[in-house]
Amino acid sequence: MAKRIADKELTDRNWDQEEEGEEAGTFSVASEDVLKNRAIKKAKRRNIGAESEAGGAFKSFKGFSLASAGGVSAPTAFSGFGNGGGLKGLGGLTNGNSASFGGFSSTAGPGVTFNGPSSMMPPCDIGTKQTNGSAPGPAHREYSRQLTALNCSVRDWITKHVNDNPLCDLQPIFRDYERHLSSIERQYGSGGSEGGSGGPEEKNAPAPSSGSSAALFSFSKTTAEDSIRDQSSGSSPVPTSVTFNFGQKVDSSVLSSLGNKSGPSFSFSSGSSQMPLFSSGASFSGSKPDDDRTTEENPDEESEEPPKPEVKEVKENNAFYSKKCKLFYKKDSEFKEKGVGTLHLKQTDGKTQMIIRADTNLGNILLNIMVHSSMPCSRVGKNNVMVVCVPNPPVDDKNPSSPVPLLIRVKTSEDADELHKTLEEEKK
Amino acid sequence: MESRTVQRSGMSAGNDSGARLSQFKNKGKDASLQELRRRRAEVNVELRKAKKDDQILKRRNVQSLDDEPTSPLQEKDPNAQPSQLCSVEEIVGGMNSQNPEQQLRATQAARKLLSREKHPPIDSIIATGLIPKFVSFLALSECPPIQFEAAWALTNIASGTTDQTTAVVEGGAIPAFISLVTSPHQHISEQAIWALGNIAGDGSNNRDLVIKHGGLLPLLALLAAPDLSVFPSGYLRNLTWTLSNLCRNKNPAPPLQAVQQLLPSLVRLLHHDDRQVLADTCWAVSYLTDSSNERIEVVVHAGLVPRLVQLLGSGDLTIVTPTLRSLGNIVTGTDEQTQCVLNAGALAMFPNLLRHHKPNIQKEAAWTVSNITAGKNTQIQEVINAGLMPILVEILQQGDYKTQKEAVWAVTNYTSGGTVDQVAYLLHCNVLEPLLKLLTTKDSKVILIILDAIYNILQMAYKSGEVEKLCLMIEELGGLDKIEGLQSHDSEAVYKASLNIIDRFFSEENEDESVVPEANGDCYAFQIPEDQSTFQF
Repeated sequence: MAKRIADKELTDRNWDQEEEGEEAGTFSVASEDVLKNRAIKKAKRRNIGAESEAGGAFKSFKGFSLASAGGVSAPTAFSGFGNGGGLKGLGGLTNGNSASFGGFSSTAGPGVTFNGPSSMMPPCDIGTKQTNGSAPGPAHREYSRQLTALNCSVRDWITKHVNDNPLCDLQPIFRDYERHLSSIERQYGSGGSEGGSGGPEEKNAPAPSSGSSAALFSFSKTTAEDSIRDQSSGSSPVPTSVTFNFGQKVDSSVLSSLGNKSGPSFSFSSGSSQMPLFSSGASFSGSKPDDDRTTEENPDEESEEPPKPEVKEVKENNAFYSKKCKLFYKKDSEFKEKGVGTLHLKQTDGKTQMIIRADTNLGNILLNIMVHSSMPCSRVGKNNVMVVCVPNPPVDDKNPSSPVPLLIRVKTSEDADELHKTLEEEKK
Repeated sequence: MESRTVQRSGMSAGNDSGARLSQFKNKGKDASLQELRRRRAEVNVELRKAKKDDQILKRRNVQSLDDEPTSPLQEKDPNAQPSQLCSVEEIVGGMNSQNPEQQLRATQAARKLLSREKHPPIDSIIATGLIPKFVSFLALSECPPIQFEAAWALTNIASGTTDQTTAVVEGGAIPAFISLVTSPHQHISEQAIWALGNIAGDGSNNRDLVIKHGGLLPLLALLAAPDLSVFPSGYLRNLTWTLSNLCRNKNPAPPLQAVQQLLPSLVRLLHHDDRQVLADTCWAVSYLTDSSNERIEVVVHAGLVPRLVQLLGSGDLTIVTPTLRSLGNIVTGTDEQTQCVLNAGALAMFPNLLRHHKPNIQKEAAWTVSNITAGKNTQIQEVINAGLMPILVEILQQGDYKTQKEAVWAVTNYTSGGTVDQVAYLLHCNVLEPLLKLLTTKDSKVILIILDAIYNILQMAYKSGEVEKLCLMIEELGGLDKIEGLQSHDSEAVYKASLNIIDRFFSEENEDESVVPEANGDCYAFQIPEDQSTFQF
């Protein structure tokens, strides 16, 4: 932290000249090309439901935030899917959370129960909508429920995404809405007791980009984090599970999305406080939400593109083993993250190939190597597997062909065991 | 780069007029001469204002618009054309004549030409090759009028461009003028001082030439007088101005020895009570302190700081500006040098300075504070005790943008050098919100500084086990969205810095706080076989 000399020469001549005013302006965004090559991280949000913290224009959405939507059962029921939560479940991301696709019926709340098997799975049988003889009566009720759920899902989705990026294009969502609505109409609407055939086809014919439509009310693309977040809020209607006990004042307003005027109390106490001006128990006041959202580009470039599902990466031909994971590579003396993606193992010509594809819209390759018999592979820590190989694509452009330890982290230790065992087997 | 000043007040009404006037026949005209000078002074002041934009930084001794009603010399010579300026040819003729009277007349005519308001024919006069002649007249102590006229004329030539000043220097003017500083005639002495000021102010080269020729000593000797009020104010102002030009310019800075010689005089002048003298002396100090720590040391050692701090509270903008700059320069030095400024009680002035109606003063004040918060945490404590942090936060919220930038620096330096308690205090002052708001600026440098501050605060919170609260707060203030968004910034550095913060403190990783091992040695959450020699490829 250096001292800085004056940036401008000041003399008896120029000292009383009017300086030209300088404006703060707003920052410029990098080009698409540059953005493509950047690993952009989504930040973990601690304040669940605090999506509309951009006050100002979005204050009106206060009531729509997921946290406060807990009272309405229908949305809760579907919030898991509506925002792609179900998709994540389909993608193999088992986070053990209630709202994963398998569990939508139960833990998703009192919502609609869909009979039929896991018909939500797009790559597999999209033979959804086996409506089981829904009689007009229940169908009508069903229809209302469906419609309510649909509308609430749309509302939430729009809220969230417009909060994230006021400039996003909402057309795709309305197209999806139309589609879903017409399918509801068909199935539950005016006396439609059968509606099975229409439905699945509609859903079955997704443009490759919207293959997720198999899941009901799935809208465009959302990121994994959204879904996780939504799931967790969906699973507990009242976010009381999310409590921040800071030791001093627990201000419940912290939990609400907007307008918490007194934030958590703060102190970095380090023993005796020599500060006469404040006590360590003092709380902060006026931590108002930021209410000028300047026209920032959404860091998530993909929101500008037509909605695409997450499950795209699942479509790996000939993969006999797939697992969601996070990949790290060793650089200098520490591990750096390469990305989050899905690991696939494929057999080609008697050899085994390991591909890890990123869970992004582009699905770029994080790793693509052949599994050699001599490739070191070990089980490390709680849920990691480490291998050493020459990474492709290279991680170090200066030494592209030297071996690098790579760490593959999976969700559970069982998964890690499984992966390790599988790799070992394939090495032979 | 030239350092140039514009005209200032003209000659003082010397009380030595007796000596000079004895040269003229019309003794009784001294009233009109004084009148002449007074008008000249007024005109000069007006010209100064008018020429403000001209960036002419040397000072020309200018004739008033209406020619003097009578010239003493004209009366003498009936053949002279009344109130009509001679042509250059005529001047050449007169100068080259062997007739002293004609020479005097011609010199005066040249002086008048060179003193006219609009487009004095400096280059024409230079082209005549007469400069050495003028210089030779400077030595004619038996004819003070011609000394005076020649000095005046040369002063005005030297007030022009570097080329024009150099022409004067090459004519051998420097030693001649230095001699004239000790002239028994005060108006001639003053004119010589003025000329030397123009020459020194031209740039480092000419300045150092003046010093090499021994220009300093006679100037400084003048200030040995026990009481400065013996000098007419104009005279003292001229002298101060010339001394300030001797302190001016960098690359190179004035010779260290010269500076050391100058300083005692500057200290003296700093205690004088004339506003202009004080202002120019402070300018001199500001030039001297705009230099290496070694130079700053010399100034501090001379004991100037307490007086500077006193002047900082003078409320007079013409004095406060250079004083603030001087003190701001001093605190770019060592911690000890900075401490001197603090010990003199400077910070007490800063609440007002940081809220000054002139944005430039605010900016300079914030810059100064930023260099103090770049110091030791005891010095940061002094800033806190002076109640300055809430004011900085105010500036961040709503200040002039240039001042805000300095305030951002002040905050970042603070977070870098402050103790945990001090940083906690800073948060208590609600710095986060306006700081995060400024992340939308287009200046990537400022963004980086802010991100630096945020990172420092987070790191400190992390070490204190309070990072969760802080992260939540940042999120609630909309800061997280902004930081996340900055990953799309044009600047690679901004991208990296924002990514780093997200990675370290807002990582999606559920298990460890930060997946990527920190640099604190306690890196590996997992075992990694160290021997890579077994890997064969």
